[in-house]
Amino acid sequence: MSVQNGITQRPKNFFRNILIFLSVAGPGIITANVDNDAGGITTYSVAGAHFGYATLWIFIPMVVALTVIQEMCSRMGVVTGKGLADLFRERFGVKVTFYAMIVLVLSNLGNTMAEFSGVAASGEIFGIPRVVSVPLAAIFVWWLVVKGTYQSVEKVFLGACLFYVSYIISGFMVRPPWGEIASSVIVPRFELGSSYLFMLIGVIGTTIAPWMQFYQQSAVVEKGISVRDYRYARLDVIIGSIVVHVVAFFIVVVCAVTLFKNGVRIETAKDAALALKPLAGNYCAYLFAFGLLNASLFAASILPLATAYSVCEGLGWETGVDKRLKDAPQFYFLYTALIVLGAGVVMIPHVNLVFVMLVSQFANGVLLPFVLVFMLILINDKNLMGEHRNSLFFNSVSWITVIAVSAFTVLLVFFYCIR
Amino acid sequence: MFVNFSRVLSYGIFDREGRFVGGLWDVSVKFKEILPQADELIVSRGFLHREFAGIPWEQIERVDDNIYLKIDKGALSFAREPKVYEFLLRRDILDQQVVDTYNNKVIRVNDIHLLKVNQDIMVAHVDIGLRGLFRRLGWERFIDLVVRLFAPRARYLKREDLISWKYIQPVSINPVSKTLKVNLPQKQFSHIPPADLSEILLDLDVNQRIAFFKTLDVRTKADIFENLDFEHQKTLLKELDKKEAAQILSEMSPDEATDLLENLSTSAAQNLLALMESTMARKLSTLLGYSSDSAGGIMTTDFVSLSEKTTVEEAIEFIKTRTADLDYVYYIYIVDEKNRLKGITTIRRLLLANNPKEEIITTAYPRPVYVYLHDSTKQIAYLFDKYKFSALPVVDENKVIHGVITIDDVLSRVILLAWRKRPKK
Repeated sequence: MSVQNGITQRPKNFFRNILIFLSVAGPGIITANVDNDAGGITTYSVAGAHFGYATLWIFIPMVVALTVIQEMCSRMGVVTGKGLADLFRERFGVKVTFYAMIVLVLSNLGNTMAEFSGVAASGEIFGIPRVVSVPLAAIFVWWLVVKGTYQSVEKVFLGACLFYVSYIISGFMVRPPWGEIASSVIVPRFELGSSYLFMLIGVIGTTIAPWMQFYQQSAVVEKGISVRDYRYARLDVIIGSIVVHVVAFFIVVVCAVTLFKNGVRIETAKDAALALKPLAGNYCAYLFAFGLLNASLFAASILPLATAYSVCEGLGWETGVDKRLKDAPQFYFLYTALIVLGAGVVMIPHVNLVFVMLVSQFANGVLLPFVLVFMLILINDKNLMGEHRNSLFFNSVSWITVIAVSAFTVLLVFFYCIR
Repeated sequence: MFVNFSRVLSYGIFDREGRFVGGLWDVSVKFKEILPQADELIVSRGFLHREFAGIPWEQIERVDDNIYLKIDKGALSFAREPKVYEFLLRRDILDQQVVDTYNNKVIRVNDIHLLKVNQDIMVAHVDIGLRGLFRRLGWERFIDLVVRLFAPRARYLKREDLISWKYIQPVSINPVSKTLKVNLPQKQFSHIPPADLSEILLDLDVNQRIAFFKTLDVRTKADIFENLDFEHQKTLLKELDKKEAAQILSEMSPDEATDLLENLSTSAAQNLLALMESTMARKLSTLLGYSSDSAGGIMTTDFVSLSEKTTVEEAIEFIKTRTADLDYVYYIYIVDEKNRLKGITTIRRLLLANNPKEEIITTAYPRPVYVYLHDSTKQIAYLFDKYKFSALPVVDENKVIHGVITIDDVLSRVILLAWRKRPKK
């Protein structure tokens, strides 16, 4: 090849690579971002308000852990062309799959309720009563998936990811002391006391949840990404887990700079937004509330979708956003039922979601170690993955991650129970 | 007598002396008769350090609620890994996806319905129903009871979602050769319309899709290709070797093949064209030269044209013997020695002709309707509506005929324009 040829080809390949990346991107970025849902924002707000910058250092190891786990799902989806629930069923039989799916439904139902209460809370900040905001949100997310195709749904979801910028903007609005923050990110800092430990575990527990593995793998399969384009899908995962933690970082920073400095105690994300008004100004508070609304809506759509995907895959029913109602009745039934139940319970006046959240957290904590260990068994299966199975190095990294994440999740459940 | 495989899997295995040997792990079957017959069973013992041993069916004394062997426990040699079997019921069928060639779809197997004749066991049906699922979970009796309590006449209690084995095509893949483990006779697929076959294909995972596709003959492959959208065509093309891809392309109707080539990169399209037989390649590269929204772009070059000197008799004979590979033969285009369009006739008009010896031009429509190479899709659609033809010839300025547009080609374009959406294939 001549030199001239080499020069002219570089930019062409560069644009081609970007084009391929854009066509492959989606599942990783979307899955990671849904992580900053109503529950996540609450956890991060409380972490910032009560402990200042003391939890910031956890985000760097979290990026690694999330990437390692989600990358394996993405790889399995690309190589096998099957969802995680499919693989569970084929490898571990119907019993394991069925009970795993029941636990998944329980955990996601609880989470869906939390998302709709997030919608209600953020609506109330803007003066919209929940009897209006919740049904509207439910109808919107239902309509989006039932009437849409995979491409259109994914575009809306990617659009929703962009709105997380509102947290970054509000982060800059409060003028944080960057030097102090930078040192807190790099230098791990432990504080004694069970409440700090509980907070730390809470942050880890909300970041890695079982539905994410199921959803991401199904989305990769439905998107039909080929092995050749796999490196782009990996980039998608990495970008996703970095972005989600950048947003989380800014949420902690906003609350640390304003609420922590002034000693304001909060319980929910709504408290945080309201408390921001006098301290950081109306705009900052509204941006914060808008972020919460967007996140809740986004997750309220994805969680039921992920559940419906996994259950139908595992039990051998037709799945897919691209299928029509008639072709995949169980899929749409489950999706609808989760939304109706999730939104319905939030509509009950003076409802207390603590018990539901407890069950949901518990289900999460029980399921996650199993899912992760099964994933590691699957990804090391020579017949299934061929040359794409884990290398020795990657295996040790992922086993450490899996054991650590599982231990923290079990600890979280334990803490929840003794509280 | 019928028995469910899930139940058989719970049987214990006992030797000649009635001593417990182990549990049933899996059953290997051979495909000799219409129904696959069990020819060896794998017994497993131990839990953490599981060991396996194969037992040929001849060494089995009887099968009732357990399995009793003719031989002594000591005669079995256990190993850490079972030996390599071609086809196992649990590994390759139970909980796996299979193609149901009766309902033309991909299904997941909840249980296997076995037929027991004397001591032989054969695969009769696969169970895909909800009840089979509950049976596997051990809830069948409980759920039956509940349903009976509330709705004693429910369909759930009577219906068995069984599908006969003869309609089942397993899709498990040999990990080494990447081909389907069992290739049932091709006849199974011949009755399935290509549109359904391509939908089945899309329901399989990528690896199965390719393995399954490779078992089909070139004609069927081409038919399936015509039914897939471009994205799926492209992924399949990547997996096929170039020569095979060129073969499939040659089998496709020229207009569909052109659509596919148009979407590929120029170099990829040129590579494929170079591998095709020259007449087809020439046809396609001509078609590629036209804008995809013009008559030239959507026309096919497969049509029947006959010289104006041909007699009715000869024309009918020609259609009978020489047009087997054409999709569309209803219209016959009458041309002069320079291929200029002189008239259009139809099979019906030929059959109704008074004198089989007369020239076909006498049966032609009074005035031929045609479109020009560069006419737009919209103009053509209007012509179709106006003249109620189901195909129109495409000519150049000298009235030389280049191709034919059938109404379905225009329809898919019009749908695209009207709803901004490709029709769901």
